Amino acid sequence: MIQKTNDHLEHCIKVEGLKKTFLNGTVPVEVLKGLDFTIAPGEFVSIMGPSGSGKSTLLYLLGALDTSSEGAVLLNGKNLGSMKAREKRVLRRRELGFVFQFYNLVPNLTVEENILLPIILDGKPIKKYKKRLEELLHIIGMEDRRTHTPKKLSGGQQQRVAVARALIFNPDVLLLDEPTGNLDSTNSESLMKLIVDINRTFKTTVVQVTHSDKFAAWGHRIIHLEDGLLQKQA
Amino acid sequence: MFAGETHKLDIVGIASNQGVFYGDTNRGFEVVVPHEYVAGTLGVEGLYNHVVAVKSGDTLETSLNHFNEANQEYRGIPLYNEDLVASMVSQQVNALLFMLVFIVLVSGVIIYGAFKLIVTERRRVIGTFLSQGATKGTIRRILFLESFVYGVIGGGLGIALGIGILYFLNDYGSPLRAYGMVEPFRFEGILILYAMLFSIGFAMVSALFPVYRSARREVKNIILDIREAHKRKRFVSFAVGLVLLSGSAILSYAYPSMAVNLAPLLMMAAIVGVLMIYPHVMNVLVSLLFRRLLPYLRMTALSMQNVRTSSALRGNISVIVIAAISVVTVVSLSSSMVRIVTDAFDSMRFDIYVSNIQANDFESRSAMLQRLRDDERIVSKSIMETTMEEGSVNGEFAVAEGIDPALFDDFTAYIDFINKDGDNMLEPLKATEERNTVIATTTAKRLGLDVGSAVDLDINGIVKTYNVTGIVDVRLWNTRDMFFVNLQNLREDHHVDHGRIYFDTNEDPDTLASELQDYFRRFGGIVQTRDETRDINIENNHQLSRMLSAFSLFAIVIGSFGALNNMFISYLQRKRDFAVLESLGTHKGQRNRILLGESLFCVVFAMLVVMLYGTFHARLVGQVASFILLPMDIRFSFMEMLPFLLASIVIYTFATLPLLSKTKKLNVIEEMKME
Repeated sequence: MIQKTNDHLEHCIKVEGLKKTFLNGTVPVEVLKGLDFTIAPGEFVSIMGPSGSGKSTLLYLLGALDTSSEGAVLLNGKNLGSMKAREKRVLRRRELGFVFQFYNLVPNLTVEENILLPIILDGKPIKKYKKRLEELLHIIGMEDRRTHTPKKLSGGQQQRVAVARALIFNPDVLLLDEPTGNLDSTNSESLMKLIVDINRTFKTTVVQVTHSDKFAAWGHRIIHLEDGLLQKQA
Repeated sequence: MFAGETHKLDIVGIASNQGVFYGDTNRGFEVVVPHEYVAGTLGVEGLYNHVVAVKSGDTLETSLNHFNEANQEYRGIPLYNEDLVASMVSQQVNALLFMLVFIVLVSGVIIYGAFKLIVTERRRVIGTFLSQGATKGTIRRILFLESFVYGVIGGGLGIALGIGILYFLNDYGSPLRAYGMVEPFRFEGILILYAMLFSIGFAMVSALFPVYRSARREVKNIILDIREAHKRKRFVSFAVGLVLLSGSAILSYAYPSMAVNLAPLLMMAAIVGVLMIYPHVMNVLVSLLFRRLLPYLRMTALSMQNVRTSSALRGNISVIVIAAISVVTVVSLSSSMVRIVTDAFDSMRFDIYVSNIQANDFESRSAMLQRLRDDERIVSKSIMETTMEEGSVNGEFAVAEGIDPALFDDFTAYIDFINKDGDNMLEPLKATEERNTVIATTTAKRLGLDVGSAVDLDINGIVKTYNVTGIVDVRLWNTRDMFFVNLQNLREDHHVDHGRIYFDTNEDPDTLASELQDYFRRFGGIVQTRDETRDINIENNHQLSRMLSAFSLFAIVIGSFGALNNMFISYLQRKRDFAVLESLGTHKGQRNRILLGESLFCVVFAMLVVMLYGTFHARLVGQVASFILLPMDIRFSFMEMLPFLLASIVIYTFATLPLLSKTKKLNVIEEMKME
């Protein structure tokens, strides 16, 4: 069993009075209007809601890719709002894994190199992560595609590589922004099985934004957003 | 001093070093005085050596014929020979046109890149137009019209800037500006029209490929920026490049005489070949290095990988390669010129040279030579006279060089007068009554002459028939295009009165030359030591080098703008990749290191390409030089290139700095959201 740094904590993610306002030209638009919820370590949470409800904005705030206008996001007890940019970068590399709808692999790197990218950028010795790489390649079932570049892979395969890349540092939290949004049903199902396996095997906290009722139900809990407000939790 | 007396004259004006003052040096120079003053002093009022007049008939030729038919005692000749003037400036003009090719190439690649950027940035708009029913032709017409407008605006600005720079150069470049003498600024208005037409045409031709490609893909692929792989096309480009480069190399080395005739084409083929081959060489090289470097030099390895896979960055290498080739051309040409001139003077046996001697009678010349023979400091047997005179052969411009065939071969080891049968070509020239001539290979080629040909040589209006008894490669000797004839023939048959004298001394040449200048001044003679003559020659060649260097610098500066443009294109194309890196925790320093690394790798790789190609290019420059009748052995020197290469690295690296500030505005979320 893999130990997580947040095993002893009550909340892996804690969101308090979270607000986010964008400027549409000169007009301020409040996307998130004050959210409060918690996510426990090892929990698999799905965030749903109609377009423009603020799902992705919430995910980017959880992923330290954006800053809130008001309120706080606490990850393993650390307030993201009070962290310096450098600390956030280290956090993104080591404690968070992010998977995007459009895979976002680096096109001129191979599968192996894409998975190792966070290690390359972090400056850690690549050799030390060879075993982890092999493990992830085995989990995503792409040992025979390790030297392929993204353009030679299907959408499903690319998204698996994106998941493996997000897991190379064995992060506490895996954030997924509509991971099946660009995949067919077979690939979507296969990917979701992989994510569930990861959640179970590694006790990784998973937060996914999805439009799919079916795949949202694969998580432990669903958070519904509407007009920037939490409507219900199921 | 003239007529044996010293005259005190007031200087009332100083003329620039041109026209009748062209040959002036600090030891010997021309002064203009009223004719009446000289005539009065000499007691020859009403007499003239030369009378200058404008033509009275429709053409100069008919006017001269009319004058010469009416006057038996006087002979009219053209004041200057247009062919000679054209021949004198043709080297400079050809050399500048040659360098213009590089500027045009660099600019073409840049405009191509700019239009690629325009198309890249607007692909969604183009896709939307197409999805709403616009035809590919409509899109292309719109973009072509844009290129036309860019041509007009760019041409207008360029012309205005060009005229401004010319005015500035004319004003500040006038050699006697300190004396308040500035050359009048001259500019032909028709050039504005030509420049504008060139600008528009050039912009449209350079935009041809990006405009054509803008609407070639499927509409969905244009909107989503999905690119199809063209592996086969890539192989074809490598194969074509290899054929062009190896073909020009085979012709250049195996068939050098044919290569000279095709030299400009061979050079273009070789450069295009290099530009087509290097991406494939880089592909192999970076593929080999990337995995090995990645654990140790991570950002460098990523930069190299980016350059390998980004067509825009490869375009960057192309721009730098072309600009650097122009530098190789100029540096090789300049250093070779200096080396050739130095070698030539080293191989000539003389210490002192007297030129511009205007002694129009046998007695004066005899006295002059006797003065030299009587001087114990001068090696008597080394005294040699030569002269050069313009004329014509069968209506074509020709230069006759009068030499002493007994001394000339010994005088210069620079020209090899021994023919393939082992005979000295100068021997037949000794028989003055036979009127034999040895001609330069350039002359033979230009006039279609061969050994055995008979030519009617018209010098000073006196036509005599000469037999071509030899053809010799004179390399860079004088005008490189001449008839060697016995000096005696020129003197006696054609009444050539001026000349030059070369001789050796067993004393210090500088002291003797200064002393002799006083004596030769009365004959208009200018005395120079060998070192002075060599330095003047080198300086004359340096002027050409400086002009070429200015063009080369121009190519580098334009190239650096192109490099920045390509970096922007490449960045726009890879914005999402940088956003991915940002989302994975890359910091600004790492991103900047990647971008600077890309820039540095481009310039270093481009330099590597140029270094490898340099030796062959220098050979081609030599063959192009021969093609424009400036035959010389051009060599490539890495050490001479080094400062220029280092400067290029600095310039191109600095050119990427504006990009670094632009990347600060990268919006990770926006980039990641979009497909």
